[in-house]
Amino acid sequence: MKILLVEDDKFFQKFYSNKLRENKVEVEIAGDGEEGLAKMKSFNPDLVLLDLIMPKMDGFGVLIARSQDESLKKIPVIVFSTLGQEKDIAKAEELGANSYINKGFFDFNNLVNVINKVMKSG
Amino acid sequence: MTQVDFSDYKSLYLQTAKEYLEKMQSDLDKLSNDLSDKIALKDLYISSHSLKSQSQIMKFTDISDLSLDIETASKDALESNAKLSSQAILDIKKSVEILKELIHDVESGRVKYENSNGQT
Repeated sequence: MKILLVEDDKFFQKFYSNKLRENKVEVEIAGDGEEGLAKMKSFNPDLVLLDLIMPKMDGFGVLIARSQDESLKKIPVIVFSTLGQEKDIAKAEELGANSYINKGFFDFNNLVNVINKVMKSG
Repeated sequence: MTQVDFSDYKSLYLQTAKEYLEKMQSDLDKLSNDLSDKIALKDLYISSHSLKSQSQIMKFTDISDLSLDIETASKDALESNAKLSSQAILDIKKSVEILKELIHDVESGRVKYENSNGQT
């Protein structure tokens, strides 16, 4: 499986990419939304894990751009939420995010469950 | 819940946390000179958000809670197209000093972290 991690924070880039790679997932990292959109096209991931708050282009910008591109729309997106971001999750889902994960409380089993659910729903 | 040994990530956490605090300090100095500096305000928002998030996963609750306060203040100012007041900037500077002490406590081992089963 190929996952694109769109995340500006070095800590979370390392943490989540390590956890995914330990479980045989091929991971590509993008450090902001602009790079994320470019890599969605070049890397063609099975799924995107998308942070919402980033410099240059944020996660909302990525979701809007994705909604306007027929090829990108097919790639499921799970957004990362954190403490205090409840309204942002709702906004992300309105913009087409398939699901969300609270990245501040790591539970790999839950991450796998959410990924599987999103992939099954196509 | 899968067990995670967060001790493996402590040095990375400290490295990035200190970078964020330095950035926040710099942006607050810019805002002190120019309350209308939107770029500095947005950068303050992003840094405080990031510090909050990684502190949350490492279960450093005091650090994540204080970072959330800074994140909320800067986000509210951005969304309402308002400026942070001079007093608010002074208050946030004090919070950043407290955050530096809290990070120092983590580094010196005065604060322990829990694994995902709640054990230290």
